[in-house]
Amino acid sequence: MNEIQTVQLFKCLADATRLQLLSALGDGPKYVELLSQLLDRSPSTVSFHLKKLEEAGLVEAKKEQYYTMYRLNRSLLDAPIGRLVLGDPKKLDAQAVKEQQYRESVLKNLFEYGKLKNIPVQRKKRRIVLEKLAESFEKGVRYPEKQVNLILADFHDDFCTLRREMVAEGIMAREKGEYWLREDTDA
Amino acid sequence: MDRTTQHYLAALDRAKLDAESRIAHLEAEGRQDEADLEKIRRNVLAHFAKLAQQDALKGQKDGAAGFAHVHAPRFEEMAEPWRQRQQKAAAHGDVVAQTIEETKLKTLRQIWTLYQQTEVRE
Repeated sequence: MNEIQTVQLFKCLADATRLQLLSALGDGPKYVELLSQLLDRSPSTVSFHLKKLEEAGLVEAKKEQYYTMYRLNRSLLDAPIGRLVLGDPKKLDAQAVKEQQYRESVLKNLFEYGKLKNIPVQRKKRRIVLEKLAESFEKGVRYPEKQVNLILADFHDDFCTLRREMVAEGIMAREKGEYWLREDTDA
Repeated sequence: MDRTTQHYLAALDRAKLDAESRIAHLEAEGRQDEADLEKIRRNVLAHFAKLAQQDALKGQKDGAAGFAHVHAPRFEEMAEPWRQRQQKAAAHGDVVAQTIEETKLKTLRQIWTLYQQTEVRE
């Protein structure tokens, strides 16, 4: 767990209702309606908090017949707090943390439910978007143009611009109508 | 301004004050996210109160009927984009966005009830 994840974890824990939910799940898995009764909160409020707990990795959801059951993620909750706070492990330097936060905020603003809302004009943001799109391609695989278009069209209607930009930014290489991820990029 | 409209505006103000006190209560209990949802509710109420004041001025020469003519369509106008976002969020399993849009829609339904109650009472 890196610093950003640790901060997100503690932010998630800093809420009385979420602590009560974790406590209620302590004696076994439960579904939303039951938790709603136990805590005297509306089912939608309970679902809202459970989603946040799930995103922080504190609870796990599993569909069982008619209900989605929520259970504690013991591997994370049983970890000594000192290991999370002091243990270092993958400490990122301040600049890297800032970069990652910027990247996440750009992606959050430009993507909605997996679709790119618009192609950013600013080069730095465009690069971040293109690197994200590059995750849909496998390294070492050569793609015909038609397939590249199909993959990119899932994100935005103007797939031609995206395809050209991937090459212009040096993320993909092109030769004889085939495209592939360049080995020397992080994408 | 006619009496019906005055009572409706006063009811909106009371609802806004109730929301303020719930926000303070939730924050004191350490339930920040629920306080934030309540702030959304308060903002919808505040926004609607402003619209109601503008509509009261626009429709004042025709009394309560003039106000209703200008104000009633506001509910549907405002609900439509929220409903669309709520449905989109539900379709993508985005519980957080769904809850936010539902909070706005629920507040709008409560304002509609206030509006109707004021009309009926008068």
